[in-house]
Amino acid sequence: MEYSEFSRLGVTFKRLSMDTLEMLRQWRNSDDVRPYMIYQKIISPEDHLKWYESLDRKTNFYYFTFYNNEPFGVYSIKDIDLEKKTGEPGVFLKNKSLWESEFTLRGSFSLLLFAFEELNLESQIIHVLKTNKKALSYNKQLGFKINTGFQNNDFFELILKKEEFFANNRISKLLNYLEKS
Amino acid sequence: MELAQFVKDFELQFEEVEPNSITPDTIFRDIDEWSSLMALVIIAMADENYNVKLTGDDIRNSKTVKDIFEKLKVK
Repeated sequence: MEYSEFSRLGVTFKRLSMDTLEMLRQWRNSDDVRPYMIYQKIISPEDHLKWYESLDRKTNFYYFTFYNNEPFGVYSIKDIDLEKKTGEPGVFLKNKSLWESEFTLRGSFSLLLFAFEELNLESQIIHVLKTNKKALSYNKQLGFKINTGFQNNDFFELILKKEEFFANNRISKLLNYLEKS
Repeated sequence: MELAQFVKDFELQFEEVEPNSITPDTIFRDIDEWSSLMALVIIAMADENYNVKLTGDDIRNSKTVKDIFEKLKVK
């Protein structure tokens, strides 16, 4: 399925298109985003377009997210392995000031639910720079666990399994709260 | 509604803090485990345990655990 647009927990997800491609590049190259990414070079319009045209849309889902009609971030599930039922979720926000906003959490939970329930993934895998303590702490609280078998000097691999996510009491409580509020 | 009970409830939301290490004067942002997700955990706890709806601004405008309790009390 295309999943071009969906809403969950008050957040609307609109799939990346040619119309919004340049906005993505500008956000991605900004000082609020680029230093926290594994790939930190400035991305040119040409390279950005090449990247977009090379995306397999069946295994890579990139969304602009909106809260009260305002775009605030880009959430993605990429590199889906349809046989292993794994994929890599990711997020970056328009600017740093949004890091502590409730709607960014709503976006994170919505994305995880989308991947587990709609895309039927069994586990989600992320890679986080070892220096990005904030992202590490945040993802651990979402239930991700460090893959101790993964060796890399610069970043950790963390895994979130579907059954552990839905069995996590704290997550269940938060989801209940977000769904009713 | 008592401050001591609220501090206890607040502390119970954390998984990595030592028991009885949080006091009314604790600056909650200094807790290693603190994050935007924990802010939401506290808001959900206040709703469930005290039937009070704290907001993100209530948390943002607080510095200590007691500050949050004071906001809870007047709602």
